[in-house]
Amino acid sequence: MEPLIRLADAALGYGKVRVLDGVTLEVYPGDYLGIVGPNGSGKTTLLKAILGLIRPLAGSVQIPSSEHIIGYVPQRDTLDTIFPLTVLDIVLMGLFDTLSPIGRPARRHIARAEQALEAAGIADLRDRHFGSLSGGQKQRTIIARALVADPKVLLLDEPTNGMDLPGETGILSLIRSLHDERNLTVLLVSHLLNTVINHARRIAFVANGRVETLDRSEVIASSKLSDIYGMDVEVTRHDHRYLVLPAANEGGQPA
Amino acid sequence: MTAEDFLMGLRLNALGIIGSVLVAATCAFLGVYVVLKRVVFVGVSLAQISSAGIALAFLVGPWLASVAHRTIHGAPPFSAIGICFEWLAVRPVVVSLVVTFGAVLLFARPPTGRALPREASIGIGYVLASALSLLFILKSAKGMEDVRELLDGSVVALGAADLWALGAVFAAVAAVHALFYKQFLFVSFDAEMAASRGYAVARWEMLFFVTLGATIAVAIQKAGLLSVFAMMLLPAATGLVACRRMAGVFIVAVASAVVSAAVGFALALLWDLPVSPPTIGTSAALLAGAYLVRAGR
Repeated sequence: MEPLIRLADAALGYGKVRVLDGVTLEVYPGDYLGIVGPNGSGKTTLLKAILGLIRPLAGSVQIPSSEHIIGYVPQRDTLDTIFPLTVLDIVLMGLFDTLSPIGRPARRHIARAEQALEAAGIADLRDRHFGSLSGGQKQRTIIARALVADPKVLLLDEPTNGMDLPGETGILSLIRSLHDERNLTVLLVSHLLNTVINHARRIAFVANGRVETLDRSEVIASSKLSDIYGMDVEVTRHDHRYLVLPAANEGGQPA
Repeated sequence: MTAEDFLMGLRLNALGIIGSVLVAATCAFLGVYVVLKRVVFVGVSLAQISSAGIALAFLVGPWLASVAHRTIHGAPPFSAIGICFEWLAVRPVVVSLVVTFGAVLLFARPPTGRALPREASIGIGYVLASALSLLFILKSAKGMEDVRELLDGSVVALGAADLWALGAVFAAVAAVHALFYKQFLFVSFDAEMAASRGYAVARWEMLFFVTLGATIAVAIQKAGLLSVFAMMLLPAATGLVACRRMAGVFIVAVASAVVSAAVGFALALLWDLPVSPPTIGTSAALLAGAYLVRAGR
């Protein structure tokens, strides 16, 4: 199977500064890849390289398709709520390159935007002002904006950052259902392993200037997590779900 | 002043009123982006830098004219230089445009690899331009008269040719913004997403700042520093307070700017004032009204 995204021995960074080195990563259709690492580890650099916003300093980053196949979902806090835009206005931005320069969007474009809102579970928020939405609703809005262009890959940057438990659960369920029902390839960037471990099939760990990709089963079984995090870490299972915790000593306190 | 005198004043100043309204409407339209993009300080700085360009033109104008007078009848290439200098000596807007576009090039540079944050460069531009304006004006032939013209403009003395020139620049700016509204909006709202969709964000930013710089440079000589900056800020704020949709914000901003410019000009005639203060006062009153309407909803 041809990969949708291929990084081959890529060095990534800015100017002469290499943030990540020797990055080799292939993303296949239908993949669900978690990209995990501590703050400042280079996740954003990897994301920018995949989006084509920065060029590799060495090696290559290839997206064989000539179309825009990646639907990017940035962190919702980067969007300024001062803009007087409705949810529909923002979703239509995903179609801007297909709209005529002057005039209102055509009925078919609005219908596509409404379908994307439906898929994101916020059809009822169509005419609401973006600034008046909750964190979860904003996140669903920008997911709908990515979906409207009918991407093959959904690339989400910290989609549950700063959310409460119901919000986080709702967003992760939505992403999971988009992946399962639409066979959408998902790349989910998070600094929390617990956010992705129960959803992603593979996890790319970004740390110490390197990227190491493991299958979920390897993550759960191996002692690599302790190496990656530089501390004793254990993976426990509760009610068919995995939870990553610092290893406890005999008194039950973190070791 | 009798009603008849007032009406006569309005008729005599018809071109000035139209010019004020054009400047106000264009500045207000661009001001919506300036406020939304949170680059109000860029607007202030560009206006100040543009003023410094005008002040520089006031300072070097007599020298250019004297060189032109001496060389224009000489042999080529001196005659050509003379013609250029003669043309430049009476067109301070050209110096202002060159200086403003230089600043635009600096300000619109992408932030990567900068030793200083963008705000610091803009601040440095502002203080340098303010100091240089003061210096140029103090050393210019007319002194305080130039200070007044710099702050309040010379819209009262606007001729038909000036009006056509203003109209042409503003029509070009309006055409660029009508054609590329979606690009400007997308890049302003979410530059990273726009870049991921293949938009050349740095080029669109540059084009926006070029239209802003051109508008400020041509407007400032006619309407003055105070009016230009006020018309970029107050009507946009009125639109944003009054409306919750982009189209509504643009319409209210431009309409409030047009009303402010027309009423301000009329009050200036009535009370024999400079044009800027009553224009700004009217615009501030409209903004206060918008707040009241919003509070009453």
